[in-house]
Amino acid sequence: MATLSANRLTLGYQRQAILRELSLELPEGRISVLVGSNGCGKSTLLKALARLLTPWQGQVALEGEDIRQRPTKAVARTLSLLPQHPVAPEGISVRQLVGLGRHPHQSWLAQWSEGDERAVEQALLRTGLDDLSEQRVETLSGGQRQRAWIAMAVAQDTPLMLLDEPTSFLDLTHQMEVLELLVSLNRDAGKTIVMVLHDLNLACRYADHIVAIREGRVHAQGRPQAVITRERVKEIFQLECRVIEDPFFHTPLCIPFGKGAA
Amino acid sequence: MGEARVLRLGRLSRVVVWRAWRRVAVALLVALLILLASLALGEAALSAPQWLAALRSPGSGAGLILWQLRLPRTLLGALVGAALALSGWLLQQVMRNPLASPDTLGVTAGAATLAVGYLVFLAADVGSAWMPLAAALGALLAVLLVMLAAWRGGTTPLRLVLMGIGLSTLLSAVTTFVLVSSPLTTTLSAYVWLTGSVYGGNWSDVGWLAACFGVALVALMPLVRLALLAPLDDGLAVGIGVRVQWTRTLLILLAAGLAGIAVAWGGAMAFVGLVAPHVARRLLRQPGAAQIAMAIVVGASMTMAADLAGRLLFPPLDLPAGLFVAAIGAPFFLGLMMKQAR
Repeated sequence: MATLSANRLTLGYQRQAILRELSLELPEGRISVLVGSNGCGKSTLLKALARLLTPWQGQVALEGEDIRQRPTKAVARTLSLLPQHPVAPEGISVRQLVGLGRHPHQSWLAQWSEGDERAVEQALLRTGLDDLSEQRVETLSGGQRQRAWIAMAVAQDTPLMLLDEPTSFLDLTHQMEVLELLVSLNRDAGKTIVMVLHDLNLACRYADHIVAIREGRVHAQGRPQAVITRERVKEIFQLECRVIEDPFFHTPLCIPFGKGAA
Repeated sequence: MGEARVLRLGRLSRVVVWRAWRRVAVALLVALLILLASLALGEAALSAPQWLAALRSPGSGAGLILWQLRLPRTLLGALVGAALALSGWLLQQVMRNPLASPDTLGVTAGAATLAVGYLVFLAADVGSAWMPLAAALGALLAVLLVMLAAWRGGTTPLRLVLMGIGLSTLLSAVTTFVLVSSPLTTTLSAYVWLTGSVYGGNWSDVGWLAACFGVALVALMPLVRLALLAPLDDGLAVGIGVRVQWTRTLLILLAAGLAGIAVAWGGAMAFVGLVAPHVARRLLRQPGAAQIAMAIVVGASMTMAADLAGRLLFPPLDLPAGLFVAAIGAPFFLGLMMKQAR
């Protein structure tokens, strides 16, 4: 198990601060979803949590220790990251792509151990890609490709997985498929999952913990029922809506209204 | 992949693709044939028995031609090509761009500026023996400048390429200015150097270049894995625990060093560094250690063949190898690209 937290984090691009003294603790063994309007800093936060960005002030702590003080390879054995638009090297097969996830477990001496082989095999099975493993990544459909990337993170075998909009550009069926896969990784393998999602209703259904970001700060966090309310959604997204209970899943269901229609 | 085998010995484990290494072996054979041809052919025509006799008695007149003229020159060519090809392969990986070559980062231009400057201003006083050093220094300085200029809390391939092109252009202007304002005899020798030639290569040159190349190869060993991961986006690479900036800097310095020493002894025929990795990738699809070896062998063969062509095609002229690297390499490269585009 591994804990991840942000402590008075301030950072941005050029001179523009995106996150302002943001503090956050992500619950272990749960699925946390970062939500917020475009440009609120949720992707930036995810990148900072994954040590892709250097904080101006404050720090990200992994297992209570500043993430930047630890060797990046050691971090990669605890925390994996799926960026928003990953690009696969040309001509690479699914199995090879998944194998890349084993890098933090390898050394100059041990470049392809039995453990590596087992982990890749399991990741392929788990993501249902065992039949496609010899195919080239660029020949896969969008949904299959996203599963291949998740398989790479699974092969990395980390207790913590960070994903930046893993469902963007997927149709509804494949969005569900990816989210169900992540839920199963959480339930069966005990992974702590932190992801950015745009669809509020899917976020409510699959998240244990929702973190709403607004203007570079944590605006609200907690169970979906606590965070996704009519007032909050208006504050976070500047959007009029009604929130009802999903008749099947009993999670909040947000029905957006146009500015004039409310 | 087909014949990939995993070797495991205690903690040691490797994936070995036999088919790929078999192809490398074949390419090595071809390179050896070119080497032999290069030893056998030249201005002084030798019959087969004469040639064998000369091979056995290095002291005889014909033996001298073989052992002191043709062999060192051919080996020097091979090493220059090998180093440029390896440099090009590394840069194409790190820059994530198939058009990257030692030219792109200003390596060749830097070497040329200092080498020509040396020829024009210093050679008359201190002799031309130190010219390789000047060229290597120029290459390294240029690449350091490019990295410094592109640095903004780290570098990105795109910024490096843009800075490299800018600096190259500037340095070429400086080189041309020095050339134009120098005496005619110096201009000529500088021009031959700029085209790239291994004419007059001797054993001491071969020894130095071989030693430098050997050091670079040893330095590359622990970096091969990282070089193979270099095409990944920074985000993905950091995610799996690669120290991206550190790796990028090391690989670029290594590539610049390789191109620097190659250009120092062989002149500015950096085109090999662009073409040889492409040929190697055509022969071996799969990135890996075998592909690196293939690039090295292809590069060595290209320069040896170009040098041989330069000696044979227009006797009694002994044309610089760089000319034929371009004359044969460029159409070949275009053909390759057209085939790939289809």
